[in-house]
Amino acid sequence: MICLSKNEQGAELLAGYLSRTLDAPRMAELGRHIQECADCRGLASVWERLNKFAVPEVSPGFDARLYARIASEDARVSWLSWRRWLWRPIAPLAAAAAVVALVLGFLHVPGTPHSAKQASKVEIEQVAQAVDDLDLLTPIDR
Amino acid sequence: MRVVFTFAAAVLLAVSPVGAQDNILRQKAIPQQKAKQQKQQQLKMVPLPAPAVERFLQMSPDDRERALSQLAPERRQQVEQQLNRLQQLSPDQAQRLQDVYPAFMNLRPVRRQAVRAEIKELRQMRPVERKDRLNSDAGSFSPEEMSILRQVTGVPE
Repeated sequence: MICLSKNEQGAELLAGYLSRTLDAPRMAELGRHIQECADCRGLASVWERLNKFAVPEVSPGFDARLYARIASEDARVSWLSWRRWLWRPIAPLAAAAAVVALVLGFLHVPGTPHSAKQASKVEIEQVAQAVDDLDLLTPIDR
Repeated sequence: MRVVFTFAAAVLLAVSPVGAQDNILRQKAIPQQKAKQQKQQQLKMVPLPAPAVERFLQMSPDDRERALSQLAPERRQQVEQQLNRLQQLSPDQAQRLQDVYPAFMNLRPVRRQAVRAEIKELRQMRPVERKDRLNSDAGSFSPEEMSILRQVTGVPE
């Protein structure tokens, strides 16, 4: 039995099934399984819908602009939440504690801010995926 | 005779540190020369068609290290090996990659996955088997996809 969600090569099998590139016995086996297994049926229908989705052209520099926007949005949200917090009745005491915590935080946590770190994590994953594809698409030496 | 011997000893003493220093300087110059050659080679290289990878390659060594450190060790090693291979492509291979990558990225995600899987299979085959497989692939892949498969494998129509 091939269950896509339990198989390490589930994504490849599904792609092969949807594009009808699997061999006949596998196609038949997977077809039967998809009819019986609700999880796999769901997965197949999502991929089929994705396949039909028209992907819009991405403008040059889209990634860089998106990450800059996420970083600035994160910074703005955290600043707003701090301001709201400061206006509460216990503001003076809390503000003093916050300043101390902030100073300690600056002293003890060097490096990039969380949002920037998250953005660069996403970016390195994209680089790794692109490197995978480039390596795979490298013309085979005859 | 004693004067000649003293003179020879003095010359030896004076010359040998200079020779050693010269050697050290020469040894120090080798990595610098290598780095210079690598830089010149990079400048001569056809750029990779993936903007994210080009951006990554233009980062400072520190930034690159910081970015790579976010990957799991095995994945990092794999990416580094692949990058090394990509940086050693011949100009002809790099040019062909320039043509094929954008076409691949224009495919829908599901089709991209199917083409990935097919290339993996094709890579493991012998040239003759590849040719047969490509001929039978024509029914399952679109003309654009077939063009990608043919460009990667170097099997003409």
